[in-house]
Amino acid sequence: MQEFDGIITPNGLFYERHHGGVPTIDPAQHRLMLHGLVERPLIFTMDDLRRFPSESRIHFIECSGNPGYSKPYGKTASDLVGLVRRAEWTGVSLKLVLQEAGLKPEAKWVVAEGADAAALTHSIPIEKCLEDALLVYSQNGERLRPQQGYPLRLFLPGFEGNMSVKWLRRLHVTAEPVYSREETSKYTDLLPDGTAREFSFYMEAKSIITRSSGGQRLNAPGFHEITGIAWSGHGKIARVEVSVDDGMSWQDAQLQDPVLTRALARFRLPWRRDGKPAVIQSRAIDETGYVQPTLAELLAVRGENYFYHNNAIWPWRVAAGGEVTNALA
Amino acid sequence: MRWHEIFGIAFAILFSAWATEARAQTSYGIGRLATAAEIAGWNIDIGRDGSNLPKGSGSVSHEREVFAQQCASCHGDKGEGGLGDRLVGGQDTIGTPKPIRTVGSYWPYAPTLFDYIRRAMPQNAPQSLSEEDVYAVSAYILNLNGLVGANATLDAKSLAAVKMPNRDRFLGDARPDVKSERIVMSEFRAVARDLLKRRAELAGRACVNPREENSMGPSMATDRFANSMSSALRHPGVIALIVAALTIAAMLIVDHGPWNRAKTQPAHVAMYHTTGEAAHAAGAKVLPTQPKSPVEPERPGPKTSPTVNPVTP
Repeated sequence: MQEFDGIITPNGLFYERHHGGVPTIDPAQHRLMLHGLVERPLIFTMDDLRRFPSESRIHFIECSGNPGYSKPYGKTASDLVGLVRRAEWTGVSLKLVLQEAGLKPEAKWVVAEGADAAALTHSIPIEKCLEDALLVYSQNGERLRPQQGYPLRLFLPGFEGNMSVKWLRRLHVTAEPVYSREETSKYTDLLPDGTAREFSFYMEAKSIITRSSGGQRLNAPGFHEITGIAWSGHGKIARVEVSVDDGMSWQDAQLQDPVLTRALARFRLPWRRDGKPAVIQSRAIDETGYVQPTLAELLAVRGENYFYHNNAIWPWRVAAGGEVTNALA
Repeated sequence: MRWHEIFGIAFAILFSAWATEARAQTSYGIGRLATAAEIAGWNIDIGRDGSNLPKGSGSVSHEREVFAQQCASCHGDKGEGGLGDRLVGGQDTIGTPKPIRTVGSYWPYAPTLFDYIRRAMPQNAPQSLSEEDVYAVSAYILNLNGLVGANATLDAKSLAAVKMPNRDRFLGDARPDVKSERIVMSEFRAVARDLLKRRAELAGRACVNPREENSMGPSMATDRFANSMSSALRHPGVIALIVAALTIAAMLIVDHGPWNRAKTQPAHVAMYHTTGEAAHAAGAKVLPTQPKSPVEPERPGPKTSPTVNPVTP
């Protein structure tokens, strides 16, 4: 991740996470069933789905636990927040497919199921399904790779990655969530008082400096460009501020055009390093005005067992000799 | 028999006519209708209230054996965990610094256990257990957690009736839950007002209401401005700042004024009209390009694939 330039991740460098291995699926045999609170329950082949008007958008996808809250913290940017990538996703709008079946008025949730060994199941609120959800068959122009859900996956821009169910085979329209094992016992956020938050979908605004970051080395004092990526599940990145003096002062970094909604934005800031030790860090502000918090601020509210949705500012320490390390590790 | 066939054919025609009619109502006419039997076969979702749980039942006693064969290698003989998740215990640990999340301590709904075991377990052969076995494994795990008795037999109704201890401790998403300390403009005004108030208090005056300040007459404000200007001008720091600013302005004028244009030019600009002329004068030679044949000549002999690592002779 710290070696990436630009904003699109090549398919071969995508992260993978699965709950029951990678299934081998013959696309000619694969079917998607859409049933439940619809006028016409339907079965689609892959050919059927490719006949619908297609849609292509650029978005990030991020694992919900990227990273956790407790030590040890990663040494490099990739160890720390490497489970985020950005691609161009092509498929058919879920809204279009739901309209084809005809939603009943009491339809409030869509339960998505994968064809993997875990038959991974997640409940998606109907508002999201009608807003910008996609049934994706291609990523960065080529068909999905098996690890990314070939031949069909759900894609929910800005939501935690595990909800974008891969190898999608069934959509069950319901009045309430199914309360699957994943959405009750796994992807819930435990607070210090013993209560837990469920159905916490959005990934909040976040940024990380990738150059220079942990494990890298600045060979000489003088000019160095600071660059990194920022993203928000709630929309566009409005600003990224960078501090090179351990958070004493902040300046606006330049954002690479175009800045897209629910996508990675690259920022850059010229920096003249005087050769003294320094702590550099970035913080993202999204179009809703939300400001990326510090780890201390997050821990004060959420505690170490919250596990998911850690979007803390992450500072890097640059030693006098130029070695860069994790300033919080 | 004959009537039977006629009715059968008539029904088939009516059904296909109805299906075509139903398809005609959609915008794209893509996909085919799913039959009730297909949906029943595919739909393995169990609601938290136990809806869609199948018929049948399973007992704790039957399950010890199946659990040992199918589950224990990952989850331990007593569900204490191993390669797989810990399933048992931890009931007083949720809300402590070291929470242990198990079926007994954390899961909110018992029917989810049936749903998950049936769809995803055992990991090497998911959806291979009979429905009786799935009921029985669920019963066994609940029994290990002390939530059903050792003689219990579970079916759709009794599984849905098991109340999980942690059920009521799940809340919705309360984010954004952290407000960063970065001062934004709206807060900046509040901070400024606070400072104003504090200054007023220090001066021993009554608290200044910002509205009162705004309602001051123009003459009073002007007097105040004049007073503060004259007192500022007496301050040596302010005088130093003014002198410094004037000096810097003078320096800028001397350096960038109209009388200080650059008088030197690089040689090639001074002596030649184009960089090409300068290059020729410096001794650069430009060779004419060989005329190229309009069609690339065919390579003789059979086509060969390019050598990846050519061997040097």
